[in-house]
Amino acid sequence: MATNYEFDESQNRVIRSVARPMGVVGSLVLLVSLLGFAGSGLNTYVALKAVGAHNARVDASIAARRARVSGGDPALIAGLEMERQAQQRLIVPPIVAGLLGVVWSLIFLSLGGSLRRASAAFHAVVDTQGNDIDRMMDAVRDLSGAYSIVRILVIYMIAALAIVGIGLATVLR
Amino acid sequence: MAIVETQGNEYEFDPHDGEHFRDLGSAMRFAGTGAVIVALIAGGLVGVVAMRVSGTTRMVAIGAGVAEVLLMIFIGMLHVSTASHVAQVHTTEGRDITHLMNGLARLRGLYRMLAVLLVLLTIAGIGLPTLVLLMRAGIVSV
Repeated sequence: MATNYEFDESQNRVIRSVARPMGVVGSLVLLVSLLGFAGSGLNTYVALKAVGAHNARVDASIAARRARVSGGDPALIAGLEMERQAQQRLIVPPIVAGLLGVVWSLIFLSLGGSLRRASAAFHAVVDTQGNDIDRMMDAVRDLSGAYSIVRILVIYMIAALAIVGIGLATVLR
Repeated sequence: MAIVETQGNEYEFDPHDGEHFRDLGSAMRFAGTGAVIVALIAGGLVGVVAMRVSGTTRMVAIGAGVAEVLLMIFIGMLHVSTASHVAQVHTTEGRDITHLMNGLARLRGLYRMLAVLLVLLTIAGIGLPTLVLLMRAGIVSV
């Protein structure tokens, strides 16, 4: 068994023709992940700002009503405080949404990176000599890593669609 | 995608390398089968929603749903087909390079299609919102 197997010219053409579109797909997935990071950050910032503004309005409104309470009736003040707490929005939901966005972006970053590395390894098979099998195995391992991530995405999509389907069936019943 | 027949000396991957091909084939088969399942569930959901609306909206929903289902099934089948060639590198002897090249030839078609689709989706995803913003700002008018 030859360990320094070299792919011939026609095989190199096939390998090169896989590497190019794979690199394009990897780059676009990386672009999507970067847009995801930016979008998550922007959405979280806007949502937290809206929560802050809403809570400030609630505080001002309750404070104005409290100022009008003559004699400082403890029951009325306690009622106003409960109303203030009930009307205030929590900062947790936008932060959780932002973190989920970051997690998704990290998954796509990892997928895009794996595809880019696989593409680079395929290019290396063609562009170098003496290590074709090693470079090919690098590409196979990176591609395998990319498809492990795709496997997670597929499971997530099936679960998400099943939940949507159950919700839809409940609403339409 | 033509079947590639290698000539001359064949190379036999060792069992350790073969396991990597087996893992890749297994992951690709899972992704392909999953894509078909996702397509069928999504198509069913779009169909249910389409039945609840009328007129042009229903036609657009059905058209988009059918296109999406067919495309995802095609991508899924291509993955399964590629996976079988990749896995054969591990499961057979004497024709490893032939199976590898056949797998790569299918992978080439798959990734060319994915590249075109992603370019179109990226243009639509970035271009359309940008156009809407420019129109709202009055910089562009149709």
